[in-house]
Amino acid sequence: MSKTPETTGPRKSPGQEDSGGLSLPPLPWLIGAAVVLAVLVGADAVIDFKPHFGVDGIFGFHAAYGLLSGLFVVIVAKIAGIFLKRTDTYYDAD
Amino acid sequence: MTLLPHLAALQVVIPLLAAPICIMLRRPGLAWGFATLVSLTDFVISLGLLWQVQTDGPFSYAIGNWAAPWGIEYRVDALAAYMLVIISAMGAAVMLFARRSIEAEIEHARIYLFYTCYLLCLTGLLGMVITGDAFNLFVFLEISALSSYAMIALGRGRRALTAAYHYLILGTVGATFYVIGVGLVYSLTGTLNMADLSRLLPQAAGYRTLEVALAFITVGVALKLALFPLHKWLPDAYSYAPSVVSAFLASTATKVALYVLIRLFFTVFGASYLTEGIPVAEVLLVTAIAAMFSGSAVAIWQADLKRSLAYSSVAQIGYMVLGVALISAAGMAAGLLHLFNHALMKACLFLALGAVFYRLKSVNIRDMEGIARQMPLTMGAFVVGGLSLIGVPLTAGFISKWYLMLASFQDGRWWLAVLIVLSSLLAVVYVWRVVEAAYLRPRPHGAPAVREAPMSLLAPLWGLALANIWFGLDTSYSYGAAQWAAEALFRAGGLL
Amino acid sequence: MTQISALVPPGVILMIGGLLLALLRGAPAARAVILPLAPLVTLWAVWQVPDAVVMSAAFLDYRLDIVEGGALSRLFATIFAIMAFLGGLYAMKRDSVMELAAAFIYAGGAVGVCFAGDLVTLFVFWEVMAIASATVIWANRTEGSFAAGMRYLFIHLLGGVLLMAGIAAWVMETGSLELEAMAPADVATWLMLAGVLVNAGAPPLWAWVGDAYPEASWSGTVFLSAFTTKTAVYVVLVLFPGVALLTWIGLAMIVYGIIYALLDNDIRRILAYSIVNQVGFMLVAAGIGTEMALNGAAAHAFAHIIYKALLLMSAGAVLYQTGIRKATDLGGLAKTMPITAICGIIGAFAIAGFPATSGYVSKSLITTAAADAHLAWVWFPLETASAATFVYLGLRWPWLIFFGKNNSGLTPKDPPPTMTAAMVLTAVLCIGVGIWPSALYGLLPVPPDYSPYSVYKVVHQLQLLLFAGLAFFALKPLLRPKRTVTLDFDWFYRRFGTFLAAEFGMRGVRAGGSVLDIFQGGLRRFVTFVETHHGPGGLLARTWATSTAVFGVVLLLLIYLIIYFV
Repeated sequence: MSKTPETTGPRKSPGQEDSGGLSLPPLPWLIGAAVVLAVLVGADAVIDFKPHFGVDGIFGFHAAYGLLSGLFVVIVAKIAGIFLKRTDTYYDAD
Repeated sequence: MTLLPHLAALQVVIPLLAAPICIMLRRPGLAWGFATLVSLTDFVISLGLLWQVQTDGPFSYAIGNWAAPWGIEYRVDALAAYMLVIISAMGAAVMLFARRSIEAEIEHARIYLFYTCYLLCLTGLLGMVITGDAFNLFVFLEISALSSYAMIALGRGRRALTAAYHYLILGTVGATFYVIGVGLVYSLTGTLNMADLSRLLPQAAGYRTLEVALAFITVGVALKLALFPLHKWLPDAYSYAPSVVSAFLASTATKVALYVLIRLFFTVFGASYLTEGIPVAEVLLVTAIAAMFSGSAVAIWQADLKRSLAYSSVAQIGYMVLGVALISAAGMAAGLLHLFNHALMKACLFLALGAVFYRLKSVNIRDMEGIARQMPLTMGAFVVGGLSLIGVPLTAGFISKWYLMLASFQDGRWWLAVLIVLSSLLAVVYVWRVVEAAYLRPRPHGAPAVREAPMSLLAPLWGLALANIWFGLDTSYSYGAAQWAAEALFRAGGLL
Repeated sequence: MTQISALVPPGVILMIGGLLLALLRGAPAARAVILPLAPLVTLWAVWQVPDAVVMSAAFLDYRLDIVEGGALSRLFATIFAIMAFLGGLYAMKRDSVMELAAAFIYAGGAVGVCFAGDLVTLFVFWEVMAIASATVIWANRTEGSFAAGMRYLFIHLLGGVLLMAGIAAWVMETGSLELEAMAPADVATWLMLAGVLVNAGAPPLWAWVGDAYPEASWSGTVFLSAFTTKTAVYVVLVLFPGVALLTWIGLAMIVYGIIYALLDNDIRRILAYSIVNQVGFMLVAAGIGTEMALNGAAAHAFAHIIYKALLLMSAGAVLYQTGIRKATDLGGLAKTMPITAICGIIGAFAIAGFPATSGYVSKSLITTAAADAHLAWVWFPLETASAATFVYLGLRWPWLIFFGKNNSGLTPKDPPPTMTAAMVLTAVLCIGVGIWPSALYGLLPVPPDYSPYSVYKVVHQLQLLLFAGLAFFALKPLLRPKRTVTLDFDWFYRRFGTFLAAEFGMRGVRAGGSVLDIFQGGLRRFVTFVETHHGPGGLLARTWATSTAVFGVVLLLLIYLIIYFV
């Protein structure tokens, strides 16, 4: 039997939800991640390729661009959200 | 002796003579059998006439051998033959359905009267089409109108009486306007024969009398045609009449009025008259567009589905008039094609509602919730008719819309084509309401259990539903005939 | 030997399967046979179609090429048939026959569009898809799905009529029904382009994707995600390749998809928005119009169907097992639903274009095409979008459902075997295409001389994605979902419902209630006008008194007389 697709989950006040977002992962994970990222950026010094636009040939360009892009879209989305978000019961009165 | 030369007369005389015989039969079953037999015979005759016109070209038949213009002339050309086939086919289809539906909706003692009225109405409608005499047309108009008032009044409930009365008053006004117009024309030309008129009227061009006559005739026929904004009689009449009557009138009566309009405009007055000076075509175009949107919009909000379909008819008449008002052979063909296709779809839909009413004693959308599970075949036919009404591909309705759009584009009026398709979206809404209620809603608690309609209702219903699909796939007959009729009309009018 | 495709179009085989299912009322045996078999037979038939017209018919005054083969047709039809198979397997336990039958007819319509050799056949299958897909949504049988399904159908029929009007105008102009590359230059082509783009989820009517897809059942959405937008991409590739406008439209869709997905809380609506985002990539490529770009668009559609289905299967499994669709109520399910979680993560990484997944090998065709064409204004946004996709879907989506705190408190297991099998198969396909891209490239209209796995390409892609990942972890607190919905274009046709219901007391037509939502457009005054004049008791709907009516007739006669005299 399929379950009803309606929301049946428990509802909590927003403040109660998962407060663990700021806690850091275990140290070995952090070190591992840092090594991977460093090796990836370092690889730019070794590999040979032809940039298309000039700027994308700069050392570590893709890494920096990825980081900035990630930050950028989240912030843009958050700003857009100020104007576009409504509580999820907004359309229920229909 | 062969009957073949007399087919034109037989077409009208058979149902006319059958009507009094029907009164004498009295027994409902007998009356039904007889009326059905007459309808089928008439259908065969109309096919014979169509064949004659296609092989030998248009011909005239002088009633009682009195030559026109003194005697009454029957004139069968491509358009008339096309219309005769549609009317008699619809009559036959509806009759096959009628027996049990009529038993359920009309008092037992009056059933034979219904069949008599039906035969008279059929006589009138066929006569209007076949006659070549403007006054004789009025006579047939009255025959069909009076008998349809009576048929509507046979519906159960007092509102049927009111509706019939309302229709009677407005129908009489329409007929009177028509006859006034014909009188004025007679005063100018001294003839009532259409062929004569078309020859003599150009000489009378410019007379104010002629313009007044045209105004009277236009308004009078537009009233019979239920052309927006003269459509007010139609919804009441169709919703309170017995289902079979609604189906028959919706698929024939307004169509014949459109035929009269075309005949008078294009054959008698001459299309050049319409395009020069007087903005008749423009007026028709505007009212047609208003009908398309207004009729559909009202249909959306009707809880009584017969009423909803009636308003939808008002909108569909708009499409036909739009085709005619383009004053081009392509537009005319599209309008005539839609006339045929709409007869198929509306008959199918009204008969489906008739089958629902047979079991449910209601066609209110609230009573029909969840009914598709109990009456899958009936509602299936309704959906097919509805899809055709919307104009979904593979149905007859699509072909209509397609040619209407082509004609609009050919005319360089692309906005008209866009209006056509946009208005058909309104049809989606009023058809879908029914689908949602019947298919997706649960049957309300305490609602009476219903069964599928009996086979005698389902068979003709599905015949019409399949015809909607057939003529959506194979258009060689439907569009072929419509195009042929339109071109013959324009060629005869010297416009092609 | 007679070709099978000359007897019956491949798409119709699927449709027959759907009809059989309906006729047999979804009996378990019928399901077990038809659900896998109909798509497989279709797939076989797809591969029997040669590169020529094999089936034609006379219709009106034209000759319709009902089945016409070609490389692009075969590519799209292949993935559609595969998707019908995977979806059918996944939906084996779905109890709604209506949904399964409609889904197969819908998929058959999509295959039919692919092989349509003329505009009318294309349009016919197009409309079949619209109606069948709306039925898939309705099959969920919730109030929400009735209303959303109707809104969805209405938008698509609107697109359909635009397309039909365009086709009619085109036929009038050229007298030809052939499918050929055209550019939007006149009424005909603009109408056609508009009609096709509605189905692609292009602005401004893009809201239908996010509005309708999450309202379907756990299995219905899997079907919905695959066909409608991708057939639109196919048609764009056939009719409008290289139309520069498409690039702009695609970029707008990419941005829209990212922002709305980042803000949303419904796990399947996030995926719906990401469809718009990914179709944006395809339209951008169609707009670039080089051989490489067109290849990229087609390949990306192929890859996208696989990983998006995988994601929606994973989300559907969660919904099936928990009944929860809101991210705020989920989390931490990886422990108890490991297979679902792994499949979801594979899908999420694929959509982000992680090397070794299908998304990587197709998306890199598009970015490379942009770079080769030296379109900086396309390439940089695309790179940003790739990075953003890794944030909003690659990491955020699995995190919301499978990691973090378990907000539901439930400990659901992986779904039943058929669903799990479908997921695993799809995941295998997803990785398989990623590892052996030549299999996909070989299907493309012009097999590209291209390898996505040169060292620098992989390194740069990993740099881009992993550093975007760094941004994700840095901003994680901001990415927590809220119990919100996001305003969209559908606001214009949804919000006024409340007003109307309250103001006009439309209880009388409750059965058609959800229909009326459509009329709640921004033109509130117009609606008010229509309602007061056309609604029950309105001037135009009321039965007039006989005398009033007669007076009206006489008045009209007067007007006519005046017109005639003037």
